[in-house]
Amino acid sequence: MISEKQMELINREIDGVNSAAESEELKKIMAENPEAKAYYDSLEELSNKLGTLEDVEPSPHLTKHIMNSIPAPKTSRAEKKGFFKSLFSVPQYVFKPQYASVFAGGLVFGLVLFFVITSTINPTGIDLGDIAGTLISRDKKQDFENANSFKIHTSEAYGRVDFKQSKELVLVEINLRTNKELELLFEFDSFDISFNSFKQFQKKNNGLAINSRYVKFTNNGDNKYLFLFNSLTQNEKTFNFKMMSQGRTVMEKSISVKSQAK
Amino acid sequence: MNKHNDSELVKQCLDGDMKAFEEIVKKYQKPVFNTALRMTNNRKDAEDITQSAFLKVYENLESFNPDYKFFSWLYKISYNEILSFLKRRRPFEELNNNTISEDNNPVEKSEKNDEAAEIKKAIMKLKPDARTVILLRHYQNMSYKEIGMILDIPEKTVKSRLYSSRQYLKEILIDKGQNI
Repeated sequence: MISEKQMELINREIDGVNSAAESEELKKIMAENPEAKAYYDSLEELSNKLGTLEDVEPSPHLTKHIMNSIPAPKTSRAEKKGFFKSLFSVPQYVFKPQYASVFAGGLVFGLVLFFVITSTINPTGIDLGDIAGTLISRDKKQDFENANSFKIHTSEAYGRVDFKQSKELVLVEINLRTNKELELLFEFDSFDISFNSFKQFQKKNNGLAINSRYVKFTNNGDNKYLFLFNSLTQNEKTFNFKMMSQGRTVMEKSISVKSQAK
Repeated sequence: MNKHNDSELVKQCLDGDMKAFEEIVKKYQKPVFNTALRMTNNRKDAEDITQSAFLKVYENLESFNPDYKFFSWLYKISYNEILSFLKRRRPFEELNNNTISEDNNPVEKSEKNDEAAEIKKAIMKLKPDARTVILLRHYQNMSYKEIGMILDIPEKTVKSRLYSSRQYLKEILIDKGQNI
């Protein structure tokens, strides 16, 4: 029979937190109580077995991933103090005609250059400007090449998924018709790909969920979707596509997209 | 873990020095990752959790109290990230092929791997609360007080949870044929 106090002494001994006097007391208890001794031995064995598990090295890219996810450096406290100080300082402006004419000339030249450049760009490829929330500026065109595609043809769904890629992006175009609400999931390796933006053509509830490794949404009826992903590496990108009905997988497909040379 | 050093690094981060934060990441990513790995048994998930834990640390650096150990504070944030993650998925998952073995000796590897795999499976059978105290005590060598601070529970509760988790873990391993 082991009392609660004896159990505590034994556990504390395993954790190395007993005082010298407590350790002595425990030795006497174990000499007189074989059950307590057996319990101590078994805990010690457990502790030794737990100690055999070795640490695993994280991916060598983990530090880079972590640092890439950190936003721009905080304004330092010294800079914050400087900012507040500057609010109370009175600026002094002196007008000098020769500088004014140089400034005006430069402004005109810059405007002319801007219009010349933008009017001579002959964009090709897909206009991403109307994809809601895109991080790509509206006037920047991307030359997309067809990369891969597959058809969806089940009793619940009919459609097509096309993958197109440019040097920096992967565009996934989904044309889909379902006869009930289905959940669709795209999984990908966050080392190679990150989510950029999304557009759906018919305004419907879609339960869109995004994290660093997947995008998930639901579809009921007819709709068309565009997903834009950033190409983070030159590696071949693999998307794992799943279509589920009430938690049951009705279709699963793995698709690879080879990188376009940068 | 050098408390003085960590406080200095935090101060430099707050002054806008990203190199100081990178040093913190390099110093602590492995223990954070390993705790997350042992809680989730999935390498990818563990890396995601590690990433979001450090992001939270960065965002809340100004709230760090240098009177306490930075490592304990970091762990508290990591633990909350792990818990949030586990709540979003099923609490108990069988050991899968994402568990990595680091051993290269094929003979020892086989024996060690079997025992290591059994221990990992047994740990995964514990509820998250129980798993956490075992990991923090046996793998991160934290004191009862530090564990209490991380989990926001009294020291007395840490001890009773730890003692009963050990007992349960023992029973699982004996059930699996381990000699304890």
